[in-house]
Amino acid sequence: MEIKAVVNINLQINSGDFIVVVGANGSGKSTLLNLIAGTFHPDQGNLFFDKKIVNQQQEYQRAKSIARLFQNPLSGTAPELSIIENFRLAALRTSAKKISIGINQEFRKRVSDRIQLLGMGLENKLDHPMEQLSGGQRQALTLLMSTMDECKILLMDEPTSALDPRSSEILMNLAKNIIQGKKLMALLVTHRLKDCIQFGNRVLVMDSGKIKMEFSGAEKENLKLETLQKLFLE
Amino acid sequence: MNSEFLLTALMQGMAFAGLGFGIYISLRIFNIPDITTDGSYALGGVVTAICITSGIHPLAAMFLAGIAGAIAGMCSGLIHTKLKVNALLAGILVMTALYSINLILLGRPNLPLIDTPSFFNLIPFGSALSKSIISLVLFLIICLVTLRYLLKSDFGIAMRATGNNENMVRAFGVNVNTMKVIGLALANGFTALSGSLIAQYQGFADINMGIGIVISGLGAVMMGEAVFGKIIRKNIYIHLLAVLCGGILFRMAIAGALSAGADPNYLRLITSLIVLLIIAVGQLRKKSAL
Repeated sequence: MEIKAVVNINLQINSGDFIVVVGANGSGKSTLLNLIAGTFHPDQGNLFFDKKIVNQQQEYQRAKSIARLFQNPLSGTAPELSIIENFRLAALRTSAKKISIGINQEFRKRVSDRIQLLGMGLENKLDHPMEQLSGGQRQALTLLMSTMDECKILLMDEPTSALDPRSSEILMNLAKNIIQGKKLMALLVTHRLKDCIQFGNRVLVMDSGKIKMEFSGAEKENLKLETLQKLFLE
Repeated sequence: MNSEFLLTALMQGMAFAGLGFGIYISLRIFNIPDITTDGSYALGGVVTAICITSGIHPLAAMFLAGIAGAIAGMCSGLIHTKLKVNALLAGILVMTALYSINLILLGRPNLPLIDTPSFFNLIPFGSALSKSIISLVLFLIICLVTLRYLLKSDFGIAMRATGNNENMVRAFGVNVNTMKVIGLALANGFTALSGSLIAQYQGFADINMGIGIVISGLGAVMMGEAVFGKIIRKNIYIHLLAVLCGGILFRMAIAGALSAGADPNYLRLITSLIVLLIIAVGQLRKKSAL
């Protein structure tokens, strides 16, 4: 028996879009995100980045335009490397990793200034290994790391599902600021209906691998939680 | 244990440092259990012996030995990444092939290096012993400085992150497959250098010299980590020094066992038991720290 994770998706993501993809477990929303990121490749159909076909492009090649937040808050950082080393790697996302020492005073200041904005005191722990930090802290740092180099789209795969409510709020507010500040495209995969109301300019409701319904423009702005809840109970 | 044993252990420990660094790179940095070691170590000795007996300068011979080891490591890496073969199996395949390759290269089971130029004779002054020690120390300093620079560089960070969180580095533009191939090439290059030094030290290269040698590399890394403990985390230099000292202490432990009257026929068993002891001490330490 074959299970098709994602079927007949026709989706265009435009400049300035912040799309919230919601659906039950197994609806295909994570697979959709992974198709864009390059973790999976489509069996049929085409995937375009800026009009160029990228179907078979590997994940590490697409990284030039994509920044990611994983569902597991520990997945976005290397535990045994220090905070500053993780940020150095992030700063090199679109460039070659050369055999030269890149971490200098100037870089440390750049990272420290950025981390200070989190208000977690982590700017004093730049040489501490990531594994000493909590999931919430690591996820927040992963998000900050995405701003260290150019990117066009921020993919977030249920980034708060393993975090407590307070960390979740800090993280998503930070994400919202970064997306607006850097004018990024964004895709947020979530199973929380209220995320659809709180974030984004478009909502995709997925079911059994298909886009069941889409809300955009004024319809999205006026979207009510009850409407979505009814949709899910159908 | 008399001082001659100690001195021999010290020199051997230093000559084996390459093996320790090689295992450190493949096992600790890349998390790949790589058994190509047995083959690349002997390859290093074989290439060195052939070069030196052909009139090539010892340093050039060592350079070529390192390249040969790197190529062997590359093969393991390519088999692992391109053919999706399990890393352990890939290493076994290359190691097995190398046994025949070494025999073909050497043309005979062993090749003596008597009255030939040697790395240990390069320094024009001093006694035989001081020449050897100075050469070894210089060699080690070069290795340490080079490795530290590499590991602290942007490339080194990408390398270390590859072994630590593969999924993450993909998202940061790192070609994981290429990294692993480079990592295994580097690791086996160092291993071959060790084989080269030991062949020159013992005065011959033989096709069996690599059999079971991987445990000495493991012993060096683990002994260093057991003795130095947590401070290895602070600093790459310290971790590298730990591997070096671990290798020397490991050799001393074996020399100690032999001089205490152990039958040399049991050498491999003793080696195994020492590594087991190191691991056990490490595990007990972890438990008591909880």
